[in-house]
Amino acid sequence: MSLQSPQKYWWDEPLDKDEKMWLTVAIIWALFLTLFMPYMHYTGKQNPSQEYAKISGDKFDAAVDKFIAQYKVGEEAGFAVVAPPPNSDIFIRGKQFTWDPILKLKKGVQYKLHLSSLDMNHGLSVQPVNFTIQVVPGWDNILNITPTTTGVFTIICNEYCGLGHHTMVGRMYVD
Amino acid sequence: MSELKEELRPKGTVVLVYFFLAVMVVYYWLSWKWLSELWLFG
Amino acid sequence: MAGDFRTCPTTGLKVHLPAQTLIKVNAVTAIVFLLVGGILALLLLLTRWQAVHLLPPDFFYRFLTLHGIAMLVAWIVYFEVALLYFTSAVLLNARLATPRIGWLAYILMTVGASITTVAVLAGGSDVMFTSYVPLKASPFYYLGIVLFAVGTIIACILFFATLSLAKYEKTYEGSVPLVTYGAAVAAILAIGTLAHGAIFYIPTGLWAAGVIPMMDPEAYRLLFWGFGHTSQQINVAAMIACWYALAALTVGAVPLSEKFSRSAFVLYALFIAVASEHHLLWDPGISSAHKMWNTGYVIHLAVLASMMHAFSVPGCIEVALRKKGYTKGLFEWLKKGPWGDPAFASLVFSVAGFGFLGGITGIMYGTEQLNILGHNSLRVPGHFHATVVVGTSMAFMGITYYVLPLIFQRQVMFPTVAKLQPYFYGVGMWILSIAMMFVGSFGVPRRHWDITLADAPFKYSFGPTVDLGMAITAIGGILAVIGGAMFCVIAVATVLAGKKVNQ
Ligand code: HEM
Ligand SMILES: [Cu+2]
Ligand SMILES: [Cu+2]
Repeated sequence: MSLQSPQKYWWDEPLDKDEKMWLTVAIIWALFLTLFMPYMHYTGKQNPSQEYAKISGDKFDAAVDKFIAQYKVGEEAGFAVVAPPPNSDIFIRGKQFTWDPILKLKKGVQYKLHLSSLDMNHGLSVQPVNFTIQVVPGWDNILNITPTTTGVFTIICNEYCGLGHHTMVGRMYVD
Repeated sequence: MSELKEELRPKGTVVLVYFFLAVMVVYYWLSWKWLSELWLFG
Repeated sequence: MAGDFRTCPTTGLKVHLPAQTLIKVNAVTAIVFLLVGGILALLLLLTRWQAVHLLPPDFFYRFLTLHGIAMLVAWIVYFEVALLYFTSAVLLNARLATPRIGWLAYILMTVGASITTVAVLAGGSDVMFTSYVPLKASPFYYLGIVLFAVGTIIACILFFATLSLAKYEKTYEGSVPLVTYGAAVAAILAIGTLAHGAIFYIPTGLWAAGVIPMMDPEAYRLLFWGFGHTSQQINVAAMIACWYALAALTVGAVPLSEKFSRSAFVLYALFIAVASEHHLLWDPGISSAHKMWNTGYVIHLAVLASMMHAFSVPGCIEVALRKKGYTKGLFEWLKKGPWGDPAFASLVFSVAGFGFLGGITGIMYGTEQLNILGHNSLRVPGHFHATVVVGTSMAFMGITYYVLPLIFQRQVMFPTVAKLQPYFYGVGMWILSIAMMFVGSFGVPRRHWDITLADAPFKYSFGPTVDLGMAITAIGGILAVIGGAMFCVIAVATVLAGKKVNQ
């Protein structure tokens, strides 16, 4: 029994056929799981950032201000609405407790999205398409992103970032 | 356990573990399918 | 020396009395924290259920921080320390190498846990147990955790000292029992990860005290999970050791193959400790190649080990029950199992829940690309309430039903309540974790006070399905809280007033 010392020479005892079979199947499954991730890097279309860089909060802040000044088309609820051209560099700035600016994107067009925070970690959770990307201060998380659905999207912060965490909500449009 | 008599073999467990694997495979496949419906990232 | 021992009338084991006292003290402290964490759980639950929305935001985040610490750190680790002393001194008929060091460990842990608890309750440390910088807690918060970790490391070293002493004094023959072997793997993982944890909390605490500059936030996340996730593997190893123990105690199961089970434990010791980056899959700063190496190669060998136990634990239960004559068809043994024994019911909930709910979802959320679908949503707490609550906590509760008569030497009080307890806790927790994962798949965030977004500049509604899911979460949670309360009442009443088991 497992609470007592086993018989001597337990390491010589052969495995039963059911155990051997399950072990083989489990090894194959584990190998498959391991190889499928890199495989999907080549064939899949949803992969994490391969380009990221350190960036200071001030530099990122300035880059976002410049981006807003360049492509601003309006304002909503006190936030700038920005319509960047296709294939351009676009920015979302997280800080306690806002996401800005409001992006107006086009369906089926690729953009280079830059994400960073001026203070805490934040979680860029876009609903209702439902995906989440981590936003870390001091780091520019860069993703080539192509919206494939249109509509009004809500950006919720899903990384606890302070007592106002639940008020940190932003907007995004795709048409 | 190699000397177990036939009626004592863990036959139910064998069924259970393969069922477990099957559930895992199905959920894995479904997860990739859900992912493929998402916006594109790279 | 001989006067320090008693002989257990049920098992014939020689029990070292100072070890027995330490086991009692650590187990009771664990249950006190389970009680505290459970009360907090009820308050959190009734807040996230928006129809009730009980707590104001600051108390919600404060209690969430404390729930994580009281449960994941204190309840689990105190119980593990009790298990370490049990599996070394008691199972090997040995004396605990140095009981005084055991007390030192206990005092350090308790001082540490108290300091951190007070720091959180005092406010200003609402950082969640992950305390990602630049979120800043009081320096005492980190100090408490460091002391707790150091105390635990000392307890682990005492475990190994006791193992060598038992070998030297020849208190057992051949290899150590499988349960002790599993506990040793847990202790190896614990020493490594807790040392890592203590070391990286020190610069974080010094930063909070204003002495040194802040470390890079991404480096913090990497270091935190290097310790934070690996320490979950301590819980896995300890839980599986408990599974084998429970299988033996409840139905007299014998491992199908010592070689098979022990090899699986070795795989844990070798490979699981590296995996940590599945918390960082959509983070900047780490290359995909590294993420895949860390979560792929290494963790899937640990997955392999878990799949091996997934065969050998139910397998040994089945064979033991078939030997009792339940040989009809595929599942007569399962139907005729001792379902009225709360330890057996806990064991079944634990094994099935850990595998089907915790294990499968863990593999999905831990796959690099797939993680984008669930990161920081309620899918994550759903997953780990299946692993660390249904899995680890229920295994520990099950073992408690044997620790009470064997170590505390008292008959379990309220046997009818005890019979029902695992069903309340198990069914409730299964519902809670499935419901959390369900609403999480709609993007409902974790650690969030108000998903109606009432105070936000933009409106969004998750819809009626999610409202229903949150209500079901609450119902499951309330069932589990009732089951948890039953457990605490039974344990405390038995310790204080249970009928003495005659010598
Ligand atoms: C009656 C039993 C329990 C109930 C009803 C319960 C309920 C909850 C709820 C509602 C949350 C908040 C989820 C969120 O908003 O993100 C939570 C978080 C958590 N629970 Fe439990 N829980 C219980 C037992 C446990 C146990 C036994 C453990 C550990 C062994 C545990 C570990 C945690 C952890 C680590 C968190 C995350 C804290 C954080 O996000 O910082 N829980 N629980
Ligand atoms: Cu935020
Ligand atoms: Cu936040």
